[in-house]
Amino acid sequence: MLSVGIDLGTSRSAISSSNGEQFVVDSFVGWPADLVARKVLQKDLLVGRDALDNRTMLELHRPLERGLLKEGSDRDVEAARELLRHLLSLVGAKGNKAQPVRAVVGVPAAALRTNKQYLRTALKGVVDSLMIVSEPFAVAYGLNALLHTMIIDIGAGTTDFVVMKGRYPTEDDQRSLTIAGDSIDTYLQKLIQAKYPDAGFTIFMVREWKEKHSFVGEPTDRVVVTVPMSGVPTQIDITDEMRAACESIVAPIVETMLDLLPHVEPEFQERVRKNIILAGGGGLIRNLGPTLERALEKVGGGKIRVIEAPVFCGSDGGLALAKDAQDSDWDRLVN
Amino acid sequence: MKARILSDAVGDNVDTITGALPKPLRHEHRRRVPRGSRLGLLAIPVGIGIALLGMPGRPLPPPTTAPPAVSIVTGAAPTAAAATVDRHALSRPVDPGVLELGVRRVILDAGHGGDNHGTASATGLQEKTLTLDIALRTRDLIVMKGFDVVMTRTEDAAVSLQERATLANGRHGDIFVSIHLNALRPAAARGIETYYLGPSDSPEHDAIAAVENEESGYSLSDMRTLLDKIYADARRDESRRLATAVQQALIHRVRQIDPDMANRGVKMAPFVVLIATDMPAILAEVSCLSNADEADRLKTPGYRQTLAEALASGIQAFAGAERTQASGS
Repeated sequence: MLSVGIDLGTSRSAISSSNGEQFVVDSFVGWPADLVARKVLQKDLLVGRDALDNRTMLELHRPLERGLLKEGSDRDVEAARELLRHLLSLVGAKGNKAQPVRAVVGVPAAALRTNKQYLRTALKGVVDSLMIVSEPFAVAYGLNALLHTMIIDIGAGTTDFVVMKGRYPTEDDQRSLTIAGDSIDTYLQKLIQAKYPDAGFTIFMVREWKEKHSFVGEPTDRVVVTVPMSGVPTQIDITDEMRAACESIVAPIVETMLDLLPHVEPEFQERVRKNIILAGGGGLIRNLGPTLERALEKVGGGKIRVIEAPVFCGSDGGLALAKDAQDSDWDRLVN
Repeated sequence: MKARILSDAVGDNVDTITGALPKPLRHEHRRRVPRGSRLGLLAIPVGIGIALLGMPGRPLPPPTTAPPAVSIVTGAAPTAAAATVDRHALSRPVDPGVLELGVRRVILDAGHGGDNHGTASATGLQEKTLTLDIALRTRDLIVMKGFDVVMTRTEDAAVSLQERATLANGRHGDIFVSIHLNALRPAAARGIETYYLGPSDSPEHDAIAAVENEESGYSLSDMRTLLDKIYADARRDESRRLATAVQQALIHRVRQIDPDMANRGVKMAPFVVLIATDMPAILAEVSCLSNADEADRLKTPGYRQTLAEALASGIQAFAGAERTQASGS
């Protein structure tokens, strides 16, 4: 028996396994675009970084959009299945009846039941039993932060919020925004393009710059990157653009955070304000935690804790759920 | 505490597997729904029932009461879900952040076509011709504003409601705008109204829906499947806002020509084409062909251009509002 927790992310997917293995891969799947590509690549399928690095030769798929499986495309469903198979193979799942796999998969907080049904159907035959939970709930469970806590999980496709009240969160306790890492990338790309129209760069380069240099508030250093301009490698300063793009997510996050707080029983609101956890890759945007704390001052102040190693906090939470669930529970979740 | 939370997580998954309806609200926030408002839900199958029974020709909707056929279908069509759904839960505001926010591709649907003439004026002006003209004008305007447009028809061709919805879904439209012309009684009545999908509590609206649903081609079984979709559909709030934006634009522009134009408002009704589309969808009755003055105006390209400009303006206003919400500004 192998239990796994999976954070099936729009940009990256992580897996934590009961055998102690952990892996993270880029959520890209690609098939050789033609016979020539097939011959060059010597593979029928590429997943993760391998797919990204060879994308010019591939029919590249990013099977998740805003944290949800894209609907209506068989190829994207197949890509999601391949991505999951790949993750399972990395942690040593044998893919046979001798070693059944029990998986907990995190999805955005606002995923509708129909989205979950679609994902469940798409993953039939890939795992033996499947539990789908909201991603911020998985994070909360993994951190054992189940009471008077707010989790803000800033991923690529969505920013998810949950207020834990010592029970399984209802839809009232959760929110999802599509303002997240990808929207920062898109905005940053536009800003840089406007300032340096002759610069050549891709969204993938923009994402790497963001992951290395993101910040809100005052810069500590100038952000300078190298791009080809008319074929000549040239250094450009993108400090102001980086700040503007990263700060674009602050207002919606503050608004949602402040919108959720009044839904907490009055006597517990202060405890929740002082117990806010910033998770996900977006939580690592420099100075974001203090910026959100300043926004909390107008409602009595609060404390934001940033998860320093957010890559596996969702999948670890999923794994904790998978291990804690009883055999009788899993019998009801056969896929 | 952990055990209870875990047990609830498993229970939620089992509900997903078994297809149980989502729990509407947690108990301390649940509001009692007056019996009367639940009855509104039954209007969906009622309206669809009217459509399924089919109406020969295109009679005007009765002024106050639904056709007798309604009572026959009411007993048969409602699903189990219809009786138990909390209407208030359905109408709760939806966080726009969870929805498709960027409006790039607009599906424009010119009502009727081919053998299905729609309504007609006393002088023989046909709805299908006018809706196509207005839709083509609207297309030209919103393409210039940078939208991608897909038309359900670009000529006088018969396209079933099912085909229109399939096209809209297959082309992944961000919004769906169906253009129609109204027929009202008495003949002096006129005005502009815009519909989005929802349970109607007015026999008059049901009857208008029944007329537009004519020749839908859906079986009762299909209808039940489609109705199930309604209850899980988080796009209704988006549709309401789209309907409001378009209705406001239409009234604003037309009243510059005719200050007395009646604003018949934004309404809910069970139009098949709105049920079957997967994106925010509205049906705009942009004018009233049964009114002689309106029919005269509709003859002029200038008036049809005004209506197209209003539709384009409403679509653009909705798209702009969505972007504003998406960026949190």
